Amino acid sequence: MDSGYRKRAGLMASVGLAIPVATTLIYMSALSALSTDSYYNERWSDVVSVWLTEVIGFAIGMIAALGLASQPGSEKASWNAVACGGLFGIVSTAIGIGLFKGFGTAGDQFDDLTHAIVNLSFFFYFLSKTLIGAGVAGVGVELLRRGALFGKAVGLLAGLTGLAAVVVNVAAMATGTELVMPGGVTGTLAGAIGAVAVLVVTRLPRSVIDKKEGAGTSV
Amino acid sequence: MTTSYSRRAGSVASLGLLIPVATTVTYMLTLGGPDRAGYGPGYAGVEGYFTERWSDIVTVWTIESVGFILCAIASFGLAAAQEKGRAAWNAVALGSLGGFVSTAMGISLFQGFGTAGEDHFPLMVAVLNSSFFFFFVGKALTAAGVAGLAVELLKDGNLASKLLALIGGVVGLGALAINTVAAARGLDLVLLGGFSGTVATALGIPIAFLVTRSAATGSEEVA
Repeated sequence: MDSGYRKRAGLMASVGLAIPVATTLIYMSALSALSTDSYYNERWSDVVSVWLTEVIGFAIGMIAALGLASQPGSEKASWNAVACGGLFGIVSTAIGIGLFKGFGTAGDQFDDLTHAIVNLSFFFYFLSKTLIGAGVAGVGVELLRRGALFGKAVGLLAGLTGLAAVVVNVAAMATGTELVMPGGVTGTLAGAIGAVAVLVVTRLPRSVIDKKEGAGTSV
Repeated sequence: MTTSYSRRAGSVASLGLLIPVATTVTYMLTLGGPDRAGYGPGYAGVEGYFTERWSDIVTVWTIESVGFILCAIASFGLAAAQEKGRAAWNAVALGSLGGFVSTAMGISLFQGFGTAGEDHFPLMVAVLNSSFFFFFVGKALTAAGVAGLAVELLKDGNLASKLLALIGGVVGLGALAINTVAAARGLDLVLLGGFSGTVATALGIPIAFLVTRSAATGSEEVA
């Protein structure tokens, strides 16, 4: 793994973490307080646009993180966690784009089923935030080990926010949609700090372990 | 990672791309959906189609699912094996995973929702939308991967390979764009998204095969 590849993949992973943070902020400020009627009948194309942009962000982050997980050396589990977090983020938004309007406008008699579909989507949402939180925490630990002062500070923040996102979102998975706000806030915060942490960690000089592993597997 | 591993995995990835192309062509020629199969539009058409033709539909989609899984496993293997084309192989693998989720939803949900009664028909449409969302995402990611592999083939291939790669790159990018838009449009762009995605996948078969046989691919690249 040359450092140019690692830097480029790190930049893409950072962008992939930042896009869902941006779309979450846009969604919360512009679309979350609408009435059901306005949401599905007037603003649905805006909702889909925001979520589709989020899917593109998850896909970019997922592919970049899988690439970084294939490198020799440390952080493999963290990159795989970020990649799996992206995958389940796509599943969550896919359920939203594909099912919410159809179920939500089918009639009052289907309200229970609509709630079940919303629960299913949020289960994957919380799972995604949990995995991204775990990945960000892992990257934070790596920064704490190897970073300079700024790197260690970012690493500490990443470790704490990542861990908080894991704890809250694991609990949220078991409680339907009761913990949407704390789960979303901690997960989004971990994603935002993670975008910086990923950028910093992929610009560190490679560790001795990385170099040994790299040398050991080359032909 | 040896040359023979890349060749074997490349052959399996090509096969995994070929199978969904073959099943798509088979589906469109012999089944094609309620309207094309003569059952008409609306709930009655869906109910008839998913009742009378169900075993044929499931057979085609199950074979397609096997192709998707073969392609996903081989492509993940190739992505882990070498830095060259890694993002492209991961995109192909994830695209196959998207396709697999799409057919899995079709196999497990379409008959149940499609024959649950006319008052449940809006739910069937939602389930169709959801399955096609994964279909479009799968096609978009596969097409992006084919375009990425085409770039690798452009660097290393001979003249014929470079021409194939150029076509694959352009078609891959086109299919990526069309299927990304289609993912936001429910069922509006099913034919266009499916056609462009299938053509990109078909071009991906020889591209995946050739790129795993080009000179530089066999050696593992670890800096």
